[in-house]
Amino acid sequence: MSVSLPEQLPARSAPRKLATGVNPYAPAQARIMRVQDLTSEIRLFDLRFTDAALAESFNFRPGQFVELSVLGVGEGPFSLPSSPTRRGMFQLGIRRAGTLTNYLFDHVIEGDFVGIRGPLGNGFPVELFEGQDVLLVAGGLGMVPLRGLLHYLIDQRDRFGRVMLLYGTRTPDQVLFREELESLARRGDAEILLSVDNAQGKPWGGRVGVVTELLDQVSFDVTNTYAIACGPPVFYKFMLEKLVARGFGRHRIFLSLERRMECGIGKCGHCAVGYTFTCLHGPVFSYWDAINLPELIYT
Amino acid sequence: MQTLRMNAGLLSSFLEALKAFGTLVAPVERSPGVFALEAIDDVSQARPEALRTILPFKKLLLKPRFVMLERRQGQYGADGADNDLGPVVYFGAHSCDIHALRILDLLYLSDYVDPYYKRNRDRLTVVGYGCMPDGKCFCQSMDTSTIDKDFDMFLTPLDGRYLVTVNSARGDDIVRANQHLFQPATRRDVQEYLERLKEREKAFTLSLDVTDLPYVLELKKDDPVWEELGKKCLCCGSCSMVCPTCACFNVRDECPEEDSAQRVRTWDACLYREYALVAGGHNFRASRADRVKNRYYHKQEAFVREFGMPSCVGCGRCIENCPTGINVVEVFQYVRGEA
Amino acid sequence: MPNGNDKPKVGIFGLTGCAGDQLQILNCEDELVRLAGRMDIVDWVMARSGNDHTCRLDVAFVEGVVATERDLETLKEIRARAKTLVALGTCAVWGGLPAMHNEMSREVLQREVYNTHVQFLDTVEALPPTHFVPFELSLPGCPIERHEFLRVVNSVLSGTEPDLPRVPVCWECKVKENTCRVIHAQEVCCGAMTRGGCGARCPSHGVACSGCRGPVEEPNYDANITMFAGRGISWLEIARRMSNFSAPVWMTQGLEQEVRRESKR
Repeated sequence: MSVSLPEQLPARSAPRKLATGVNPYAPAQARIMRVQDLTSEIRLFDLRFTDAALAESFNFRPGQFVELSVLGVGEGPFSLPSSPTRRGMFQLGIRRAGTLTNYLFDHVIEGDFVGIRGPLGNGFPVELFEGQDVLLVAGGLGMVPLRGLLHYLIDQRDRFGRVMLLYGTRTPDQVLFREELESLARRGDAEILLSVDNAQGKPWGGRVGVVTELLDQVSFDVTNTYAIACGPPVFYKFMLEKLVARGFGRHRIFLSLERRMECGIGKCGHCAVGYTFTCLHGPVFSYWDAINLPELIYT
Repeated sequence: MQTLRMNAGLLSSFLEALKAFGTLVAPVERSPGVFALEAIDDVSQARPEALRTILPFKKLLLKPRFVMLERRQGQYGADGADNDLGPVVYFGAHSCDIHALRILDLLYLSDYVDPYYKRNRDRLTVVGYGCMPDGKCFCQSMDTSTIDKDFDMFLTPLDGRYLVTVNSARGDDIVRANQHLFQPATRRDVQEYLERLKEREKAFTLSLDVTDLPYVLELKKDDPVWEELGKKCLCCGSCSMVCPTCACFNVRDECPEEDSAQRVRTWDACLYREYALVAGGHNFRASRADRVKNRYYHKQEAFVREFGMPSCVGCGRCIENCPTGINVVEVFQYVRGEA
Repeated sequence: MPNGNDKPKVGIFGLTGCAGDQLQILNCEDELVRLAGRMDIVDWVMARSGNDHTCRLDVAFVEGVVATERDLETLKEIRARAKTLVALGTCAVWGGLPAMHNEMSREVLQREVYNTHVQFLDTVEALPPTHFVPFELSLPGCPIERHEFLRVVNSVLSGTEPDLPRVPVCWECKVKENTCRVIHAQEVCCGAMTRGGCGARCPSHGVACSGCRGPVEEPNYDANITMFAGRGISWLEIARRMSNFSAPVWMTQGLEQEVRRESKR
């Protein structure tokens, strides 16, 4: 199976158009098809565009994001835990964190409509990964965008070498997509190692310890592997340099940044870090491109 | 490009004629020495020689606050009619203003075109006016003291007459509709223009050394000067509001009444505390020093890396409007260790 | 919010204060009539009779400061009854004018104001209700702005939280292109320290901002004071203007010391 993806474009290029409409600020209507609690704080929404043509053609690159809004409540950026290899429907993994997400958790149910703009930003440079081994390292909510990438890789399994996932959370009940990951591991589609900081006495078959320790559990050929890291700031603080210490060139490490992406199209300025607009040049950066951005890693 | 002349006494007739091309907007004196861009009916109010208005022309393209999307009694609208200013003729633009317009065009008309900006931009007629710098102008240092594109007409005052540069088909329309006002420029007019140009270049008293400035800033990113500025800055946002190239905006949803919801877009400033705050509560630039630094770095480093030029045109508005007297030129002199 | 015929129950309360914010609500006249169709105002002593003083409330608005023990009891009762509690006006959010002279003892104040021994006063230090119990929302203003009140009500009734601007008065003042009271008039203008929303009403009429809407988050008091002093304004004048509103938060150690030093000179 092979899919073609939206092109990676340099920022500040010729005028282009969003899939969801000519007016990049106006969202397209999408219906909530299914709502599933992943944890007590994180909810998975399955969505489908009302416009049938858009629903079928909606294509994005793993690592890109969309802006979801409810007019009168607000708008916010969310990454996609689903893969463009599976069309018609897309998913959003949303954590309860503010006005908009409170509203989504408390008032939005299956069958309701929301507004979507996207896809936005530059996602993972998956072309580079072809024929290479791919190491995904996720911390906490970082699993959301990486799950989209994981699906993309295993849906086209023969185009890539080894697919490895190292994923750590604080406790067993915070592990996102646990059953699915365990099943993928059993099927041998990917090598998956899970860890928790603290098992809290709950049944847990994975490791206990910080996620960086999982790196010591696997061997890889760094000249033939790309590492993709996604997680909270403290995760980056330790993980990125640990990957470098394990021999990865900084251009072989990719990460996804969280900032206040408001317009999503490089205009409003809120997500600017140093000389880059996270929403337009990112949110995916190579570690080398990101290393000099001020405020890259904060604690 | 076409160069003409117009007798000084015909300025009022010219301004009257401009009204046929849109709402005439020009600097007017609000209180002694304080100017603002306003729509005028009485053309004698126009003060094109005024160096800077409080707010720059950007308000003619994007209002400080407008409704972008709206739902009222079940009806959805995204046309932003609130920001539709109709055809506007902006009289009294200086070279720095026109350079700033180019910078806004780069931002808003590249990648995803901003439809709200574009609608007003497409119908904006720019009639420039030659100025003489004061002690707060440093456009010469920013390479924005002259302009040869992105305007429709430009009037340079000479003795008893104007040298008129026509630079667009729309400018040509204005000339063709008012041929009685113009004559071909003579060699003497050109000679006098060149003399004025020389005189003007000499009149600058403020200068900013921009040599390798992006890299100098990179080297100085941990300099204590930013902490000092953070202590002095009120974070009132005035500098951003009055800056002709500051274009950041905020988007906020409102429920003004029952069955009505609006997505409102307002000018924002990176100096405000909430600017880099994300849902969940983390603030990427919680300290004032970081915010002040970010503003200077964005103008002089980030924009250069992205677009190949700084997003400061040297108009001096931020110097004039800072209540605590923070002066951009002094800041960079200090950064270079010269002050 | 409950759906269908079960309209949300609303209460509006005044502690110690001028009732100006409640008056602003009454001034909403037309809008208030429309709102009445969407909510049940069940407890509002100032505006209606036959109030229910014990029922659960979906939304409660509280105006004024806690200046007596009884105020505090009332406040705690309201808190216990209300799902969403909204602080109404600068007094409720920051303390406002009643808190202006908290640094003086009650005895001194009593003597200064009434000049004799009076029996009916039982006041304690005036503090904002937000000091005692948690509030879901704050709506500053002296008095509150009607359009902001209506936005709060409409948002709450729609099941969401209002996103009110938190930028300083300078934002609105610059938008209106007013002549700056600091730069051009050398006045103590509190605009840069004060939360906007009033449309820079005072500076638009040529009067310096008195700070009546209370401070923005993290105002730079020191830089403001230095700026005014640097323009030749006396420390006493600076202190007088800055301490009009929200005295406890506005006064910085530095300014108090300077004032003491100056008064000794």
